Amino acid sequence: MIGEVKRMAKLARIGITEEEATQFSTQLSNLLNWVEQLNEIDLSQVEWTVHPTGQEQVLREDVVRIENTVDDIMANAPDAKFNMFSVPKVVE
Amino acid sequence: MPNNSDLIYLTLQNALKGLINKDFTAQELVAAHIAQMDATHHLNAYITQMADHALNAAKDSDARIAKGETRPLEGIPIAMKDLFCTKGVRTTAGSKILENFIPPYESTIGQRLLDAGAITIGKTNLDEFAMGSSNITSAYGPTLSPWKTPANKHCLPGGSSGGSAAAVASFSAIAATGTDTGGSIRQPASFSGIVGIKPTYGRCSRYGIIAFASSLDQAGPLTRTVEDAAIMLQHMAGFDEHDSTSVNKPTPNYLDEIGGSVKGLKIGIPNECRMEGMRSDVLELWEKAAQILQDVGAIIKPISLPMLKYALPTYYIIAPAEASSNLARYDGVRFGQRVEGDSLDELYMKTREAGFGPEVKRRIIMGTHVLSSGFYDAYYVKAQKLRTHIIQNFQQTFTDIDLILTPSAPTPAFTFGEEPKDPVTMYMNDIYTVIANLAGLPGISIPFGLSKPEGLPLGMQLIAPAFEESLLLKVGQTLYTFAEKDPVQALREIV
Repeated sequence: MIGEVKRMAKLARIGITEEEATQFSTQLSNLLNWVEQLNEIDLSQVEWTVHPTGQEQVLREDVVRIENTVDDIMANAPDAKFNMFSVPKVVE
Repeated sequence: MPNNSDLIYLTLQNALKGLINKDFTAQELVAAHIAQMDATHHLNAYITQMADHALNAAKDSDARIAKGETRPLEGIPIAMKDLFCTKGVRTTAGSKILENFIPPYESTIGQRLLDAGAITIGKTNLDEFAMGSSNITSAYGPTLSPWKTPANKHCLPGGSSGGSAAAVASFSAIAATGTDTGGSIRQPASFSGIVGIKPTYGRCSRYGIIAFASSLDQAGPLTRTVEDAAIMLQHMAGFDEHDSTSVNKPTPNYLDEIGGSVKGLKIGIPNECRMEGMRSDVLELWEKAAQILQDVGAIIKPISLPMLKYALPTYYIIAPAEASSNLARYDGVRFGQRVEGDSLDELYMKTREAGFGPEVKRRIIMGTHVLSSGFYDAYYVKAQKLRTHIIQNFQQTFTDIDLILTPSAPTPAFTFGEEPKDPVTMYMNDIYTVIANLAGLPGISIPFGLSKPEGLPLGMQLIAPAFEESLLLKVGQTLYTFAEKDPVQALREIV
């Protein structure tokens, strides 16, 4: 389970310590054992729930709206240049 | 003019009357609440206080009242859970990763309340990203409840809307907003001796509320009286074109139903909620609530909800799955905290390691696991199918009855250090509330009695069919009237 926790942490891009990996693996095992009880019932004929009260997708009119909040949005960026988000080099 | 310190004890309705009659000004009303916010600072109910902002807004309210342009919530000081984006005011979600996040816009619910004249006096503390039942996972420290144990130790207010509950219970706000994904309004309301409503999924817009589990999240009010909850909900509910899961249905006049007769209403008591090893005070109070409703003419019917035992495991698959997806956006690129790395991947890993607390990390990892290739069908698909089963179970049940009555939580509030350490045990707190989220149904928690021997609040929960919030308010008011001790008086005695 520790290996699985580390693999999931990597997939989710979260750095975790050895200690956390050990702790989470015990807790995750308990949780997964606990949810095992869902296997007791046959659900082969049941549909998924998409919206809990069965509402269908609402569409709005496709019209242009001008909401220019670029400055407010860029003000939250940890690092920005020329109105663009700046990150470490991705392409070699 | 009344003594300023008395202004904090007013109900929303009486505060409005007093403002309109010019018994006091909005500035006096807001100042009294700010003074109480300072006096109860040790509870850590607020992450961000907005005193200057609130006093300025109160000046505007007074000007409007003077001109006779009073809006429906004019000058009413409210607290906003720090999960609601507030334009120009820091919004943290209780997380370090959003420590410096200044939203460029206001949530729809926040905007509606502001447009109605309400004044936000502060952003309340919460479990990090609303993940918790005790308010101890906040990166800004735990919130304490004004309620104390016989050993004079502060209880925890419950969670995740724990700051909102503590603020309302300690009279620093007349009302507060909360969100409820598995019980996060109703459980803290129950722990704190106040009223909390989780409306039907889609009744209130989620736009501008930081998402935890989008198919379960729903916002609602926390107040000290049922009438005040009705008034708050009135100004929060309604379709929003910015949230396509909000439902385009007219909002009824919620106050109208309050005080109406409950005669002939059929109230279901689910057998499965009578848990083995249940606390006797909770059980007694639950039976008493049923008896009172019967005495005033309601019909009490035992019912069966065989799916109840599967509700929590279903929830703990769906909620982390949706959370792991929703929280992917906190990557240190566009907003929030960033920890630099040599590569983009390293930047992500380090940012999220430093920014998220352990409960959030655990849930993201759990969610990633249940959504990952090879496990998706076994967990996520199964849980969504079980959810259908649970919804059908409720639909079937509601053909025979009008409402369901259960306790709001299996225990009264616990103290810091005494909270359950094991996640599964902690999650059991939500056993009665989580069913309403899975089925999208509205629920209310009513302060109804006190635990034995500690004397801490215990709430009763009512669950109604979808969009029947009016029914909750009507029957909830009946229970409230017959509470063992007047809930507002009980709060005045502890604060």
